[in-house]
Amino acid sequence: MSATVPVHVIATVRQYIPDAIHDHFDDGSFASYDATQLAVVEPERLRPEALTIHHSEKPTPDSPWRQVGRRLSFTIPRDLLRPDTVLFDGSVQDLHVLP
Amino acid sequence: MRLEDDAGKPTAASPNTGRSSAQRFAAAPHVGAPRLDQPETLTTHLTFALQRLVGNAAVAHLLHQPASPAPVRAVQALADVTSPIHGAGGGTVVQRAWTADQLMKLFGSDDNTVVVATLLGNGYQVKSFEKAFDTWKYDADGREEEVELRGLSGNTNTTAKVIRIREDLPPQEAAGTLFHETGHVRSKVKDYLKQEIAVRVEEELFLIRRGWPPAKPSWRKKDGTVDEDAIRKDIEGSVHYNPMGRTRTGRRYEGEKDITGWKYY
Repeated sequence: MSATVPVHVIATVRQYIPDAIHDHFDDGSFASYDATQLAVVEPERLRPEALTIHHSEKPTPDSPWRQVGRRLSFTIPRDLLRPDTVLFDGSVQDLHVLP
Repeated sequence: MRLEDDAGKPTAASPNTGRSSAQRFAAAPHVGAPRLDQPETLTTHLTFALQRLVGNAAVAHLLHQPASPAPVRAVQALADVTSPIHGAGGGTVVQRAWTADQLMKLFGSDDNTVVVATLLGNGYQVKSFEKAFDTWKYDADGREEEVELRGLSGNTNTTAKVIRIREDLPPQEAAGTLFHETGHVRSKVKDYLKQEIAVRVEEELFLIRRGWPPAKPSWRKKDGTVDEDAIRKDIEGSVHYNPMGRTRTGRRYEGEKDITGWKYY
């Protein structure tokens, strides 16, 4: 899977979800990932969907990813914006906090 | 991220923490298929089928338990899910892929109610998958690589309200995994590690009710009850691993199927 055309997204943080995914492995190991659910403002075609970004590392307490209502601007590869792909924060580039 | 090794797979607690029953069963040598062209007693046939399905150790555990209702129920339930089916070539094979109906029989009445109430009451879907892949982006050259997430037995996505269980797990293993995953949905414990401890304790109680082996031998006391301190010690001893030089961008599942038909018995 290669990163292709970046899509510019403006979105508002709707919810921060601790431990949104729990993984369990055959050998007994486990992992957990927090997530941020976003309401997309732009592009319009993504608006009906809530965009969920999972965090490989827990964001710091003051991270904009945790701030409900915060407007964010970023780009994300178009080919990752598919229903069958679970997005992680490594896909997010040029993250900016908007006023 | 938390608890991950260089292959992209979480390594959790101490290396031996929480070995799953899949590993327990896989560690036992499997016997060959029964000679189906010869008359056999039902017991022998069933034993062979069970051994092929879950391994010698698990069968030995079931058959050598002191007489009690739970192991008997477990054997009967396993018999239900190991009924031979006839292959295209005229041979007889044992069905290995699990279904909702098989798992519900394995749960038994009370635990079936718990699992189904969790799924239906919270609007969760169950999906099976063949393989999972994570895509990683490397800091040094921006290269992206998709890596199979080997050994992922199951997971719970609370945002999407989906529980995924790997398709090739033996039914008993799938039942244990589903019970564990629904435990995360039921749990009111906020803290990540404390919730994992609570869910594993609940899972161990489930395994005891079914007369199945422990997830890890040290998680049972000599009297057969759950050793909560041992579980807590293992989970709290988890190693936090941070991948260096790469970041995860996405995950996808191959061979996903919706598993429907969850109902109260």
